[in-house]
Amino acid sequence: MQPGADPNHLLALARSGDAVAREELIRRYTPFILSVVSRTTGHFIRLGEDDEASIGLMAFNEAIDNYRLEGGAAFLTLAETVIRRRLIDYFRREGRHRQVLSLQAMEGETAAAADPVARDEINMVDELADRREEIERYQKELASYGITLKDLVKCSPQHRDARDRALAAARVVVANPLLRKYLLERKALPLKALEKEVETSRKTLERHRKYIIAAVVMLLGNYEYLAAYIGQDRRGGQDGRR
Amino acid sequence: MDGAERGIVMAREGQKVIILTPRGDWQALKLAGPLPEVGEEIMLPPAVKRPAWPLVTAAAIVLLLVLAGSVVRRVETPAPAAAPRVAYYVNVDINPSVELAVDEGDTVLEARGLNSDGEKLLAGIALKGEKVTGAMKILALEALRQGYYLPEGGGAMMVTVIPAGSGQEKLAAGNELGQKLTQEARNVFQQAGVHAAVEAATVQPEIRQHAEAAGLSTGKYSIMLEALAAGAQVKVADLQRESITKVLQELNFNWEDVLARLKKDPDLLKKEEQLGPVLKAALGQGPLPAENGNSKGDAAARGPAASPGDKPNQGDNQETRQGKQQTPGQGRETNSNRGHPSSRDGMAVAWQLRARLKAGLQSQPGGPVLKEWPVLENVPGKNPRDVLAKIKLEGAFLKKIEEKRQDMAKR
Repeated sequence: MQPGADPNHLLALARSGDAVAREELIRRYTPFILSVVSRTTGHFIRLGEDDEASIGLMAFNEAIDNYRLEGGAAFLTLAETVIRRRLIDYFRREGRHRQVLSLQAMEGETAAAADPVARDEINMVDELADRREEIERYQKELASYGITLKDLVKCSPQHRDARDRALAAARVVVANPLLRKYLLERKALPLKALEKEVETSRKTLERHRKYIIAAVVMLLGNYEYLAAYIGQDRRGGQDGRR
Repeated sequence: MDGAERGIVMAREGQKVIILTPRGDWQALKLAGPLPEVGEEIMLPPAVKRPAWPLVTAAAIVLLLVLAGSVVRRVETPAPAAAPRVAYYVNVDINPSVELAVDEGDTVLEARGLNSDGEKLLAGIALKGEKVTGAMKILALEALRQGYYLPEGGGAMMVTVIPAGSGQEKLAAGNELGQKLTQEARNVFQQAGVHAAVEAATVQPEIRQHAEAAGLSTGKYSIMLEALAAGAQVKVADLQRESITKVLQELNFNWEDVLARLKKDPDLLKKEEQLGPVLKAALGQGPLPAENGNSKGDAAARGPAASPGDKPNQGDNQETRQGKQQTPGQGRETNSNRGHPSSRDGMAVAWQLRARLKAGLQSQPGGPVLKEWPVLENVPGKNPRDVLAKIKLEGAFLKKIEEKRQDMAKR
């Protein structure tokens, strides 16, 4: 199975009984599974150490079989639902873990505890709605800086290192109250000051200006989901590869 | 594995979505099928880097020609010095159609997709530098993996060998190569439990050029000629879209019968002549009928050894394609046969080139893709040997999960 294979295709193969494709798909989406598990449980999960991780993997495996193409929803959405459902089942069985359930999971449970299936669906719908609301809010705030999502697609640093450096620059701005103030008041990047704080050249900073601002906005504003999302890759523990 | 494989949908516009990956990369994607909602996480197809440079290069070449033409008043076509010569083209039609250029030593020089599916088939594999039999095996495995053949299912594969030069002994050698290649593919399918019919044919080099002019793979074009001769109303447009088997099936013809006829009498050039108006109709407004119409007389005198330079109309057509794709080896041949444009005015040459580029860019959707040969360097991790090594890991991971599941069920 080559690394470049289309995951959607792997999914189709796995569903038609190809064990290799299934394994490859699970392996590739292990970071995703761990991030869903971490979000649901509210603490970091390590592959091979926590039972929750195994439950996540099994649930993902189950989702592969349950997925219906004509349903329309994205596979990962279903996978996420199944993973949460299985985790909640697990916690319920164990009992002792209840206190570490995230608030969201708890809320969903109390809202529709009567019907275990509907409960999770509602839970997921709520979560999706929250996410959508967050994204819309984010877009609006970006617009106040004169940045559209299309701009970001255009000027997103292509190379991984360049992207990491740009994100690092964004974190510098977030961490420094003076730079932060400058950005919020003038709606522009404090290039001169920032240049001294990071190793990136001013020219590069300028080129990635919009991208960096977008990242700062994401990290500064109240965008829990998004900020955690782009942070995922840096938290080695979650990925199981440090 | 270093590509972001998922992303969260941030916006949707028409058939496009803008997504953000966990790595912080923003991408715009065109998706087929139902679009995901904003906020949903989706799986991403592998990133295919499509640099914009072919277009830029083309523009630069035109500009260069204009400049060179106005200053020197002549344009030389530099012949690459030691480019390896293509001995055979091997054309594989599944419905993805691909073509391999093979040198004397049976090493693949180049692999390119003849339609978008063909490009997709090649996207994840590196065939350059492989022996042609090995390449065939990799191709068959990849076609399996991409789901063109299903276990316990049928399917067809046509292998067409086209010698780069003319001559009976080359055709015979081509037949031999074709047999070897079909055997290779059959082995793969047998191991996978696929009952696919794999057949090979060898055709004359001119047919490949005519096929290109018609916008078909050589295999499809050959079958079309044969099917027309057998009385099937095949249309080029259908063949460009669908696989050979499907098109013939709809006309109640069996492709293997048609192929058997082709094998019995592989002189397709003669058949082309005999077909005349029928072929013209099948091609629609293709360039070939015009040529067939007005050069019927001397076409009879044209043996398989006739060089493309003898046919002015068609030669022009080939250039339309060569302007964009620079087939190694073959490009040079036509150039030398055609006579240099050196005596022509630089400006005129540039304008012609521009017109050809334009014609190339307006090619029909679903038709052959007119672009540069895809560069399939030995990208680390995309090497077929790594791929094969990986497949051997089979099931270990799943087993572990299952063990864990049982373990937890006990508790």
